[in-house]
Amino acid sequence: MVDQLEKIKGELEQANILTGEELEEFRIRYLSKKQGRITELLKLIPTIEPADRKAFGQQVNVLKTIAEGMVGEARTRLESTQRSSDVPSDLTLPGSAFDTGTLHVITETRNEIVNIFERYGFTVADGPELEDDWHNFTALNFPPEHPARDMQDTVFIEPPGDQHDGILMRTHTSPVQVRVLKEQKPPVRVIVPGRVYRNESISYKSYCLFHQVEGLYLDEGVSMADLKHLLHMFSRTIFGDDVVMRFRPSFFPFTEPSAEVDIWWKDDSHPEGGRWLEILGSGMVDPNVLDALDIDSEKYTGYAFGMGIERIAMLKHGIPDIRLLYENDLRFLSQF
Amino acid sequence: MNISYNWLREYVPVDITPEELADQLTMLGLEVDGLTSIGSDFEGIVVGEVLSVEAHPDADRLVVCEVNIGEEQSLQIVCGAPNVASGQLVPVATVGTTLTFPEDEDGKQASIKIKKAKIRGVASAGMICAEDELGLSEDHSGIMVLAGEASVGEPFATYLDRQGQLYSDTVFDIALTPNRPDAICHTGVARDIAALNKLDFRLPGIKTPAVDNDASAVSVFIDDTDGCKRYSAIIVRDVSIKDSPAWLANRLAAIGLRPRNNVVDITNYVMHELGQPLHAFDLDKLNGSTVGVRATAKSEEFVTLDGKERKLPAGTSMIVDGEHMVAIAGIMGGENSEVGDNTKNILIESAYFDPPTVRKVAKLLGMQTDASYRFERGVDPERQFIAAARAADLIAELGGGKIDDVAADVIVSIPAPVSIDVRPERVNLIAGTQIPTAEMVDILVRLGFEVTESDKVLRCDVPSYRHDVTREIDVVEEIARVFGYDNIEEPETTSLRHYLPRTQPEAELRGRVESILTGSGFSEIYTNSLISPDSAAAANGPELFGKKYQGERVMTANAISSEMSALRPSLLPGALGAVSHNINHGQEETRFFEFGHVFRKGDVPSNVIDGYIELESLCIAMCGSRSASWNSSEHSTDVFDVKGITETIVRLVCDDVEVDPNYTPGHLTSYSIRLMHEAQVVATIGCVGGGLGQQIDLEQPVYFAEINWGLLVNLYRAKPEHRYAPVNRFPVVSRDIAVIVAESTEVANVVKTVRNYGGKLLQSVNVFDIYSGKGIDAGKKSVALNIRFGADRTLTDKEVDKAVGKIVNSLSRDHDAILRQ
Repeated sequence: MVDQLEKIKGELEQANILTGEELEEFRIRYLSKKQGRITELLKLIPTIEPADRKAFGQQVNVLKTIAEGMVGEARTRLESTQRSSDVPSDLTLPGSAFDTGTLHVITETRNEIVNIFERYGFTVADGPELEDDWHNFTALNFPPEHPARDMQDTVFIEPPGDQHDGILMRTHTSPVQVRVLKEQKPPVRVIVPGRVYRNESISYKSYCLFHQVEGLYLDEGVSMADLKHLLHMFSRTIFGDDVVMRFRPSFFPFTEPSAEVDIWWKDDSHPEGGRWLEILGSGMVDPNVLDALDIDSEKYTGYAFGMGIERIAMLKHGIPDIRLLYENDLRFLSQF
Repeated sequence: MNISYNWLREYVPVDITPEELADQLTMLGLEVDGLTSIGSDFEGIVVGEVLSVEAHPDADRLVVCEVNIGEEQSLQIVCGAPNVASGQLVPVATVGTTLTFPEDEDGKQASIKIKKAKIRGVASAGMICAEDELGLSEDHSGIMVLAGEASVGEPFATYLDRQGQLYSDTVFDIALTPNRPDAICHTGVARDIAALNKLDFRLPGIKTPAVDNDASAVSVFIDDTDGCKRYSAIIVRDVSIKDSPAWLANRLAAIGLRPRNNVVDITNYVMHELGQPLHAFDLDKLNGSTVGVRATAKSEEFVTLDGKERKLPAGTSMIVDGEHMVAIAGIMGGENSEVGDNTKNILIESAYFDPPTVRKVAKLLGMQTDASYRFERGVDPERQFIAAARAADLIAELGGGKIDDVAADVIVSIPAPVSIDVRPERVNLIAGTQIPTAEMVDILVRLGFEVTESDKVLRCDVPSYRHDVTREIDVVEEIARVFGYDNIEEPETTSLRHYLPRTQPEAELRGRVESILTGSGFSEIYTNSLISPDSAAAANGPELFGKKYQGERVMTANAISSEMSALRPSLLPGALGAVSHNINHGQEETRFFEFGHVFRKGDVPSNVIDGYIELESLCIAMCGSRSASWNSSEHSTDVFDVKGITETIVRLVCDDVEVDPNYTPGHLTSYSIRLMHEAQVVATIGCVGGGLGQQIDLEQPVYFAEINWGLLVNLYRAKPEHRYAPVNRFPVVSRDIAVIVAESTEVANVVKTVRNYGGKLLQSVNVFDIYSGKGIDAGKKSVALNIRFGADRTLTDKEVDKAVGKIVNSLSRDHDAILRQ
């Protein structure tokens, strides 16, 4: 008997069921009710000496489980093969096209910048591109006939009548500061992305328009140290934790004191191994701006900052010529 | 503005390197844009003697020279200069020397290292230099031939030194901000450096003549009291006009001024030393021993000393003598009174001209001079007489003249001195610092303020040259910049209010639309808002945003070029430009979108600026064919592609949209479809018409949509928050029918009828086939519809049949439709 068991076990180990016929043959040979060899052994169990009966029964049942398992496995396998009888003849053909487009690198960069400040509690605000002199200059403490106006070459708009003198394309996003402060009492924490215009001839480094992100925070007790902290945080997020930043005095009519932020840009072709690149302008909101809007400049202090999106995008991606951003060549667009 | 390192050190004993000084200046707010070394130590360059000159065997323009540089062996050098000849003493750059050439227009410096080389097959071991190659001048006409005493083999620097020509300096190019009128000169910059480094600041000693306006040899008057507040005049007689001495010429050359003659050079020198522009008149060319300031009564012509005729508008502030105009106040002198070689007697003018007046005139005349630049920013109103005296001193010293004992100094008004109360506590609050009061006082005193401390307040008397400082906040900046922005410590933490900004509806919607568009193969473009007037006119059709927003194009008043003199009334011209660019570069298939502002003249309630409409628009443009793939055939883009994507976008916001087709070809579109919502144009879809296509020379049809994005955002904002609708769990019954209608029947109307008469059970209608041709009568078409019915129960065949029957009857009644069996 034991020989029988060993023999069947050996046969099962060798068995390889490849077709439906082989499967049926296998089933009949070992498991059929009438003549299955394992079934026959099962029938023999009662005839075994009581002392050996239990052990023998166990061994037969193990065989039965193995054989049933093999049948089940082969059945599943063979059925699935049957279902996909139309196997593609070449699975290396390219997949069907689902063409996708891209967002422009200016939008990508703008979103990246805006997201950083949103995490810092800034809300997005916007305003018109076509502005009047008061919002663009006068309210921002650029007196008429002041040389500070020469810092920004302005695109003026042909007036429809005499009464419309001083209509222009905004030279910065700062007029939105004025528009927000006219509507909203402090505390104010806004960020303003948008398009601005400069009446400059077009070259690899300047275009007649570009995009800025402006920030304004006005509250009690805001200091330059807070501004420096925020801009440092921003530079690290955009340019990496090892960024080296310089915060230096500058001048903008609507901030006092004013500061520009440079970052150290590694460049092996330079004798010093790099150079300082200006990335943004900032400062403490000038009391004249607040006074003109009837905001108590003694109680509230705040900071403002602004940066060019193109400049940051070009730095980050090594784009050498600003005109590439407005040429819209697909071979350029698809890179971002 | 150029500032010389050597010159600066006359007023402050600073002994750090030019590079360190440049960093200090930048961190003080005087941003150094560039550093240029002037002159050099001429290392590796020696005096050589040309022994022989022979023709080069293979090059007509080259010669082969033997040059003795005092060593055992002479050098063979190939040279291309026309003037080389044997016997000449010349500067020779020996092998290993690096020559640095002056900056070119882009600010780049080229340098070459001299090596042993073969030039057209002939060995050459060095270079005979021209003056420009040595940085001595811009002369490149030939090699420099040394005159005077020179010994073969000696360093070239030794030769130059003997000639008094050895000079080296470093020049800082400072990008001066408009708030620092005091720093437009060397003493002004030196004062900042002295304050930062806690060094002594010393001004040159100046002797001043007596002032007596009545006894002065020239009588001075000021008629134009708006344009001129002060006019000082000092006379120097019997001056010999000649070249300036080397020290003066070098100073001016270092900062980029061409030396002319001693008198003109001295006026320039004093301007760059003290910041006060001066003008020297030839006293003998002034009529009537009188000089003054008067505004022109009418428009006049005047020749300035650069020989150009200027048209002066009425009201221009001018310097006049007894009879004529002799200078444009604060801008430029006249040819008629210029100092020339034969001048003997000089009148030095030193005035305070009103900044806005000078700025206005300079702008009108399109002239910006070193003088106007300073007057516009405002010179020190107390420095006129001292500056004139300084120039007189120098003229007497270098030109051998004699200064008149009595001078004139007419004052209309000088601004009153300003005193500001500064609270140290406030300084620290704004700067975020803990600067001790004593340190604040020290900084201010070094900058020239007089400070009196009382009861926690610093009373600061502002020096006359710092008229930009008028408020406490201005003083805060002075303290902060000298204290050092680098020394402001950042807080380690920051606090936020109990409030987080919410994503705004427009950002939310834009994000979804961007995903849909980029996911459908559209790429975002950015195009110029400034376009040609012709494109603006062509794209300014009433169909785009509806009559409400129709208006003339907006023109700019001071365009750089006419191609960019109009504001875009639509995003379409820019998109077509992008399509055209890509076609020209071999990319035929394009799918683009752009978000942007568009402009028209007109009055609508939403205007921010009266008279000008500014709309936010989203433009979609498609052109070309989607190329075939192994499992799909080529697909020519058509208007239904762009209509499909546009409808997808609009339906994010509103379902209730009417389609308004227009089959008539126009200038802007060949045909178009407007998507209307409550009588407003949400979007215009179409095929670009010939008029606009011609503007950018496009032959291929371009399909586009221009969506009134601002309107869509407003609708989105007004949309109530979406509530869940139960999902139907019962089976849906689907029926296909085909009806034959007239060719001219619009399918949208057929679908509308199905919707209107489909009853409560109707769930959806879908057009799945349009057919005309064999089996269909001419002038007719077959429209096949898939109609789905459902309810919150299982439908019976009978009720569905009834609903279909009603639909067919309605179609038959409204459209003469016949059910196709």
